[in-house]
Amino acid sequence: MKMKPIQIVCAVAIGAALLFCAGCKPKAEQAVQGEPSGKPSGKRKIAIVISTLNNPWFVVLAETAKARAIELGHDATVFDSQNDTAREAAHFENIIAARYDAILFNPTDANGSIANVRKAKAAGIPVFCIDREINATDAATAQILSDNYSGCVALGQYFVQRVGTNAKYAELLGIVGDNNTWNRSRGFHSVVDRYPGLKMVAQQSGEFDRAKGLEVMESILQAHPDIDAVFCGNDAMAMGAYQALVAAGKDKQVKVFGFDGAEDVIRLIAEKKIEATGMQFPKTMARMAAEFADEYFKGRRDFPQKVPVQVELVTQDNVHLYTGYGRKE
Amino acid sequence: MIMRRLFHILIVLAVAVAFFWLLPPFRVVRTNRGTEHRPPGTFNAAEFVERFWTNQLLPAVPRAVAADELVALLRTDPAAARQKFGRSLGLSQTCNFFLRGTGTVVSASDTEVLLTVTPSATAPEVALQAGLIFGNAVRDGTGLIDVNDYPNSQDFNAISAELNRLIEQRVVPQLRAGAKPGARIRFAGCAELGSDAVNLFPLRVVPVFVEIE
Repeated sequence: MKMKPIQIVCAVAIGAALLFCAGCKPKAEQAVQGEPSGKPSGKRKIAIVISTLNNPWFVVLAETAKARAIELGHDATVFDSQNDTAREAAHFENIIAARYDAILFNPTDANGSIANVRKAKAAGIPVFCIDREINATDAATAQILSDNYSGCVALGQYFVQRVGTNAKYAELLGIVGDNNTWNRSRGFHSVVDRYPGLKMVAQQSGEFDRAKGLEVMESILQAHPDIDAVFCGNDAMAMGAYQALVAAGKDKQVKVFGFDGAEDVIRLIAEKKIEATGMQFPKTMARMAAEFADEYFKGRRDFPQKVPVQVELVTQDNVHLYTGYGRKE
Repeated sequence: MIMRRLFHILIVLAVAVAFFWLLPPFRVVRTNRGTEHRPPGTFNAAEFVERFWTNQLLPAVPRAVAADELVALLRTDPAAARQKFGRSLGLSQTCNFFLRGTGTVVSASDTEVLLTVTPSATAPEVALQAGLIFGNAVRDGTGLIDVNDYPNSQDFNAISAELNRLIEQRVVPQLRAGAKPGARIRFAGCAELGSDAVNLFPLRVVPVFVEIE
């Protein structure tokens, strides 16, 4: 079949248009990759997406981020993912549709949350991860994270000092899909596993949740009533474990170690009921994330991908220097 | 007639352009972004550390700060010593140093070997770690390993565990065997100094290289 000249012209034009369109990106995405967004500097909308607000530590994280964003002159809204990746994905869809200007993000899953961050990036919305990382360095604009591993190396050394080198202990893990869970566990085990006399008799997930921590501790105590210590991957589980120990009359026998620096655990360390915790600094991380977003609006683009934030060991000896979620001013 | 057909074709063309503008059929993206596209779970810390040890760490020893210079500055102006020779990971008040030097053994135990490194020393200035090695002093002290190269921080942390294992296997036995009081030891290693460190000396150094003279 022979084509008429007009058909050839049309075919070439359509082909050229297709190629042109394929090379294009939405304007907003171009802004992410270098140029400041076209909006004038001023009040912006910031979304704060938090893995769960069922834990006081994350409430502090969310509230501090919100307060700092407002202080910097922006609007801020908190979204609770309730530790549910589907709910988190729905939040991102809504945030993108509502054309928010930045997201301060505490992910539910290191791998599962990457797609959400990529969607936001494609829509031209910068994402700043707080406390929990995603397993990608080309999606978020920056990730501000606790140095969990180092914190738990220090905690592990203190554990050996307090519990000794011949003892039985249990470990309550956090959410298994979260990198923080494993960074804490591996930091701790990088120390305690070097002492053959220290036997881990149980290791179960308490999902970073106080009620779950209590429940898991109760079942561990039934199977292993003679344990000497319990290492908990966060303070909510440490509180649950301590509650189970009190109920079983074993709170003097079993030494409890947590991680977070939550207010109630700091109080119990001061009362010599809990041994130690790793102080993360949620307020520092949340403030920094809000400030990064503000700097982004003003044109900054040279953010470090990862900012590890030091974790400090809080014991009965130095607890007077600390308050819930940070150092005393 | 021809004008009318041309007009129809232009409308179709405009609709097609608008459609593909909004929903492009494909998009060109860069794929050569280095480590960030490594499939998850494929990082082999032991292999990495083996290569790092030979190709980067030991060749970097001549660039480490001289131990006597660091000790002298820490004694007179700790803040300046941190500023000039220290490295910190992210937002941290802990400072890591990469140092090398020669010292005289004052005493040795199963956990550390105490040295003096300056002629005027009246007490041990350096404690070479000779027991179990924990922490991130070597990973973070040399400045050769960047956290931003590791999408999953578990990989970054696994490097520390492997480095420490290698030090216990390769360096510590040699140190223990040769560390007799009065012996002279050439060494290189990394030290970690917390912000609230009151007693700076002896500086606790995780050794990466030792040679008994």
